[in-house]
Amino acid sequence: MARLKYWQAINQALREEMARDEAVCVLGEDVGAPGGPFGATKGLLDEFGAARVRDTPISEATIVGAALGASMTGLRPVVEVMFLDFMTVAMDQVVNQAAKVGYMSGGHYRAPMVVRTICASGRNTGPQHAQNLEAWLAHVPGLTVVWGSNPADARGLLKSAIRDDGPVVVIESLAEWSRRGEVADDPDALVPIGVAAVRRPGTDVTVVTWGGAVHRVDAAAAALADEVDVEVIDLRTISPWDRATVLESVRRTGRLVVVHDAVAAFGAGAEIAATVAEHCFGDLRAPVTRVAAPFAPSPFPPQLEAAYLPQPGTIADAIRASVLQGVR
Amino acid sequence: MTEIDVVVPRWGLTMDDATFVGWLVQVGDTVGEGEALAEVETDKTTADLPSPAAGVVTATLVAAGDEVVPGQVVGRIAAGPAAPAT
Amino acid sequence: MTVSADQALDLYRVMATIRVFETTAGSLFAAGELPGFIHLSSGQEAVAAGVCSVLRRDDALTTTHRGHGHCIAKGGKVFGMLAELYGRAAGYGKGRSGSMHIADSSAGILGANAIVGGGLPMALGAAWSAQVRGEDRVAVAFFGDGAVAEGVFHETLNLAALWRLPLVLVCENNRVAEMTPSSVHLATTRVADFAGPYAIPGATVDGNDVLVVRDAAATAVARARAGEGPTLLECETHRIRGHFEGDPLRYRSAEETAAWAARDPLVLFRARLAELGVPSARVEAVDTEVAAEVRDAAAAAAAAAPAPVSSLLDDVRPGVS
Repeated sequence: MARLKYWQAINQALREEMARDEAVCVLGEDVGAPGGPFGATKGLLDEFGAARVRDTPISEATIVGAALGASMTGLRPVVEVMFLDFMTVAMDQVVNQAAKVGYMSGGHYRAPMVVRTICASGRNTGPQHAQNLEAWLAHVPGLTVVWGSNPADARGLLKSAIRDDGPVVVIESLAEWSRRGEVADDPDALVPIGVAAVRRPGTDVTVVTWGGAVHRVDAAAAALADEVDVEVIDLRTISPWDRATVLESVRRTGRLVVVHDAVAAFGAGAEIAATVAEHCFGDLRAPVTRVAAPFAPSPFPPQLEAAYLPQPGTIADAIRASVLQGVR
Repeated sequence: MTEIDVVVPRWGLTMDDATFVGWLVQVGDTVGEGEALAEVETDKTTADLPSPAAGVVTATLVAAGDEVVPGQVVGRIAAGPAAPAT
Repeated sequence: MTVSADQALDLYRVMATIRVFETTAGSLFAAGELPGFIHLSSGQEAVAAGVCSVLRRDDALTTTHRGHGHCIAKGGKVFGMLAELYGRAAGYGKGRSGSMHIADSSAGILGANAIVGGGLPMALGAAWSAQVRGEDRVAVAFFGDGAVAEGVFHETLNLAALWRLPLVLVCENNRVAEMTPSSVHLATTRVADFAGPYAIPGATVDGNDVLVVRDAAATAVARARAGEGPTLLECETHRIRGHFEGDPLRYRSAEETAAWAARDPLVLFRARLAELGVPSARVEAVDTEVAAEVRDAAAAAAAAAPAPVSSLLDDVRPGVS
């Protein structure tokens, strides 16, 4: 086991997958000579050459579309769209093209491509650089959406995404960029797509979360340790999400709090809450609640962004309320 | 004569910490303003730590391989016209 | 580029197949046999036939909502296409996607596309993969003048030029984007002029003369295959039908229709075949064979099993191989 930073784990995953399979190529803005806007592709150009590591113009739609066309003709491209917000510029290629090409071609073609994109929420980057847009992507049939909250998951999910035969959007948290964690040495140690992680087993209440919110949920659960036995589930794959793990947990605890950094309205938390309501109605002992950002753009200054994103105190309050207000 | 802190600056959005690669000068050396005092490695790159003033290096507070953070004082310079070499 | 009588007759067969396919599809649509909507390429056959005649089967192609002709010319099967139009399980997309989504991996047809300009980056990617893999495949993107106003057109040109990709960009300039004339939607009258800023070759040719198209395409494809980079080829042509079947064509004058009828690519090429010494009996035999082929395919497609409800979830997410 090596102890790596989040970005180093991503870098290692790319390096190992490129070494394993020469079809794996990397393209995007600043990924080559600059080594990535935040270092995730550092060293790849020197190691694998300019044919497989391509700096591109700022043409999000076209580089995603190029990755798609390349994926249909023998490559396994990993295209970087610098910020999750910029995915909106590439939405035709992501939503209308990549996500549907397998279906539309009746299985004639597959799109084994990965879009890596960074969510900078929590870094004081403002309304156009800090959005949590995972629900936009998860709403599209044919797209797989994963989000690792720690170095091991970031690495293992990215490797699984590269080996997947369909288009996968890999969201990375810039807030976690320097977080260190244990990472497996085995290049074939993957984190499977569609499998959540129970970070903390508990019996009183289930908290489902993902991405940048995970560590604030951990802090809330730790702070409550003497009062409430909290089960924390890191979803890791937003779509297709691990219904089995979540439903099993809620059936046991009878309580669900969903915590995410995206706004609540029409968010992924609503999907999870509705699914639990449909399948666990008889098991629920309290209303399902959501802790999420207010329905407003992401603010830039630190004090406002801290108020905007669910913090451990707010999360702990919601967990406590779930336990107190429900049926014992 | 004024003592001036040598501080690790914040280079970019994700510089939460950095690795101190090593000093390029030692205590007693005379340096010019902007002269590279040390190398610091961030996620993105290895960069030179420039001297905040002309003067003489009076302290080096970290060693090669240490982890440093933006704002950390890593050394000191006695600012002033460089003393004649002895 | 010389053309033998047999090669010429092959070109004619492709063009005639497209015309009969489009006419048949139009009739079936009007009769209420085909669900949804369709966009026909009648009048533009010379572009499809001319360009695809110089392509290999493993070359990649992307096309548009008006892409039946390109798919046929590249080797797509008439039955599979008609079955798709009918919504039959035997269709190219298992009868679930329709007229604008024909794809055939065995013929290098990456896909027709219902998003204007949507196929351009995909073709760029196919060209890039050929370059990375060291293969001499080329990619061709067909698009209309309407797509020239899309951002991805310019982005694709920029990247293809920058990376010297084996890509041929073929604009079928029929001077109308859906129902809006070029004078209203484009700042230039010549699409090929956009080659200049990107420092790649650009050419404007008579898109209704199949041999002219073939020559221009041969030059562009040879250049691409040799690793010398992309070409923007503009083919001036005419869309006989409306934007969609049922479009009343209120924006088109009788004079315009008559002028272009005299320049119908099949009419022009029949005359050329005579000049080349191809006996009219051989031409008529092709017409008869093509009519029978499309008629039989249409009948088989009509009789084929509809796409079953059980196929709704097929091919949505492929998983790991």
